[in-house]
Amino acid sequence: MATRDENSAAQSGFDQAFLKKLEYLHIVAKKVFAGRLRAERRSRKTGAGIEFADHRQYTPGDDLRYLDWAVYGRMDRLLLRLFEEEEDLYIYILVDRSASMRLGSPGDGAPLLQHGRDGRIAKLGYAAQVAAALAYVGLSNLDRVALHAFAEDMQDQLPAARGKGRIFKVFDFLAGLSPSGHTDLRAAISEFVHKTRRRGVAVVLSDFYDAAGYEEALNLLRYHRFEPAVIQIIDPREARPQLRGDLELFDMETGEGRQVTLTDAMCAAYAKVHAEYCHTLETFCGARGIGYLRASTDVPFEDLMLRVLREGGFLR
Amino acid sequence: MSFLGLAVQQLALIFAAAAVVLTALYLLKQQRRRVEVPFIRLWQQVLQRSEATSLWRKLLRLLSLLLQLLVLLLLVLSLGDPRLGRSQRGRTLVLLIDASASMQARMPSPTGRGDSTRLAAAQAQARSFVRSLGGDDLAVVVALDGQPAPMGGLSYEESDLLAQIDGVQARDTGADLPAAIALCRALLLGRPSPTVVLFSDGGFDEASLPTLTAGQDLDVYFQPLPQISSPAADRTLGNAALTALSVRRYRRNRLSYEVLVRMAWFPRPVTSGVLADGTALPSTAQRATLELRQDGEVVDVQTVELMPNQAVERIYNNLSGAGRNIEARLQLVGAADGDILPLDDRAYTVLPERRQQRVLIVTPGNLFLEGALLATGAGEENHLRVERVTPSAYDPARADRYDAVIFDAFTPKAPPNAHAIYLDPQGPSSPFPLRGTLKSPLVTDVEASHPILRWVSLTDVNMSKSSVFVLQPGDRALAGMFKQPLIVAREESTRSGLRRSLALGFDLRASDLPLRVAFPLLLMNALDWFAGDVDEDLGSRRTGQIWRIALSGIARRAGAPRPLSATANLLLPDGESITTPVSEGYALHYGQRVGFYELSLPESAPLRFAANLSDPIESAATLRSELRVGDKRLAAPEPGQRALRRTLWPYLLLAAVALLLLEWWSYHRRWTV
Repeated sequence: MATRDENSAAQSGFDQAFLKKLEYLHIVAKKVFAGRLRAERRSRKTGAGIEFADHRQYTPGDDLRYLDWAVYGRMDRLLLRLFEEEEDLYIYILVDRSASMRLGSPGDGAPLLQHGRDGRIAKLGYAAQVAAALAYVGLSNLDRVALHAFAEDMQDQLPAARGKGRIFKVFDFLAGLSPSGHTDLRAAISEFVHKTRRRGVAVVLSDFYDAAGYEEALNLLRYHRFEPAVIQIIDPREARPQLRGDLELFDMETGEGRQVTLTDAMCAAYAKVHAEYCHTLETFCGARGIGYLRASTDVPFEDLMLRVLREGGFLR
Repeated sequence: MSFLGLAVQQLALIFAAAAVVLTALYLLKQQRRRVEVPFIRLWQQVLQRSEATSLWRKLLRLLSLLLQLLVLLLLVLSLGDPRLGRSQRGRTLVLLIDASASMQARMPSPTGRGDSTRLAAAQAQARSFVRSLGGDDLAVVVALDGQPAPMGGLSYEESDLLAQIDGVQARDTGADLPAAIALCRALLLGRPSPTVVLFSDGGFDEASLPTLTAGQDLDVYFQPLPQISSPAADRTLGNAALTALSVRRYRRNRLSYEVLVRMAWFPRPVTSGVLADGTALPSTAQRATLELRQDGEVVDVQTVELMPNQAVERIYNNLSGAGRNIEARLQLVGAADGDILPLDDRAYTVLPERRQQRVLIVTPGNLFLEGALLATGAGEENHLRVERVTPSAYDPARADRYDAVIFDAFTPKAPPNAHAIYLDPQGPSSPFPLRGTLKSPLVTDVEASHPILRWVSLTDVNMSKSSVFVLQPGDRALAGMFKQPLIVAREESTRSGLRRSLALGFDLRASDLPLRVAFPLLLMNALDWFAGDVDEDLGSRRTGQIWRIALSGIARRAGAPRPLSATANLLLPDGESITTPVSEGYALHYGQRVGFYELSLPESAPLRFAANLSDPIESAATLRSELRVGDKRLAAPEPGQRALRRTLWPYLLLAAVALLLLEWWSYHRRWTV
């Protein structure tokens, strides 16, 4: 089974070399962050554990076995003893597979991780590499890692599982992604939070090009007690376009078109608008304690992962 | 501005059609390159900001359309080959280039290598002048020879005028200056600033010079030939010329001839002007060799002393050998290269063929008549053979054996098939119809120009009575009394050829005419006229004239009928054969070349004759540095206002290219997109 998974992943670009890169990243991360990173994570959920955590007021119907009779004797108050409930950490990796993530692809139907002649890779391919690295690190830490692909809604998912052996399933899942559909972050996240009972870290890999906005979607994660983190995938060509002359621009997702004659000044103005857009997202995340990272596809994903691991915030 | 290419209406049509197509293409949406963007909302923000300047952008795009329309307009205009209109400064010029015989005179080449001709130098000056013409100057080239003619039409085009100048060829004729000025006046009539520029050596008959300034309607300029440094002063330089080569028959015997050769020596041409010309000529004689050749064989060589500007004559007597080509050659002794005009160093003539003339007298007896015929050359050795018959013995059938028949006091029933003289014809059968009789008439009207009356005086001729003739077509009254013809000459074309006859309305016996010298002369002239022999036609002709060559002189082949041809073939001295028109028994040709000619008709032996320059004015080869008419000196021409080329299409194309470059530049600078 593992062999079959390896073969299919290798066909999509997630080959042994890629796996070695992930292993290397994992080892480097261990050395750099020794003592801080441990496989065992403790959830903040209180429940049937053995380690005392807190008291709370008794309410009728609570299990009388957990009443703290000693406190009752001293203070004449009915308090219930709470224990930290130990459970596995859930890491949800949400990958945007909308049509806009096709940007940078060398051609239609090209393998996800194929690099173009300029050495760059499609945004979805880059997001898949990052997602695979995150999953590998999580699986190596014995966390439960689940992957979800979304566009206008949640479309594919790889259920949460643990153990490094699952990495090939992750590869297989990511290799099967292809960009299509338009982005609707709110609908997709809403579906995610309502279908996912276990809370955990939710890493969103997307370009966040949603006409309806991204704020509500990220707030939904927060409101549902997920720990959201954002990795914004951008291509340098969309940040600083080199387009000139008479063009018809059309949106990759909606097909909406516009005839323009681009000049240097207009391209500079666009670059400025794009930078403002990214900065707004970053500010939004920073104000709400959401981890934010901007990933440009011209930066090797290994460097990005080292930066992720070094700065922390996504994986504790 | 005028258009020499397409008409204005055509240009407007082309422009309108092309402008419609251009505007339609402009209005059509451009095929733009499609580019995918991940999030067009961001672009829309940018575009909303730039729309504030959209009005300016639209104006710029309109400017692009206007530039393209302007380029189209320039291209369409260039199709019309527009020319600048004439301004008030424009002149209308006739470039009068002397192409007379003297322009063939040699002169040192301006480059110093070899010799050139005066005509080549004048053409070079004319070319230079044409290149200096202003854009408003209209010009035409006229060749000035014996028959001046324009070389093309009036033109602004430099290339046209240069081609016209190149077309001027020197002729072996004199220059008819009055005719040329009249032609210039006709060409320039009604045109602004009429101007004539004369490129010439100035060798004109002084009597013709006043025509240059006659009337104030023409501005006449004279461009003298360039002053080229002359060779050493001691070198002989001038023109030895044969100014005449004449041949004539003896009056007594028309089968013998004498030849007159006239020569002259014109030393180095004086260049100081009209008044000074001829005043400082050297007086030393020049020795020359005169050669006479018959059919190319030298028959006589002699050395002659030629005094400057004085004619020297030599006469060769008792020459015989009818039909031979005679050529005279003159060559300077010891200075052959000093002769600047070779054209008149040779003269040509042909001894005209003359066979014996058989004359039949039909008379009852008339000693006056027979005596007169004896005086005019009758005899076995001479050119007349006379036979006499009485009227009763006259056989009309035998009359065509004779060249001429003289009817004395006898009127045949029908005219003979020969030339004839009728002395006092009577009755209804008279070939010359009669309308009455005059008693003791006086001769008041005489047609002295007719060959029959050459040297003949009819003044005070008495006669007791004379018939009055009724003129018929072809008749010419030679003498008469108050418009009543008494002597009539007739020339008519018959099936067998030209037929001539003469009628006297009175009897010789009742007149004192036979007692006068005029009578044998009258008979001699009449018989010569019958033979087609007029003295001025003998042997050679002068160039620069229209020749009337009698076809009667062409010998028919045996048995061949005389054709009634409207044209004849003429073989020119340079070997070219042309067709020349025939009118009333004469071939007509304007002679431009010296040398031997041959005129021929089908089924006939050719008639040879020769032509010579025979023009002392041309042979003088005068070279003037200025031309004066009275006190007035003709000025040298002035160049024109050379402000702009006449043709505009190159400028229009350049402007179109410049606009295209501007449009291209502005487009790529994103100004007009």
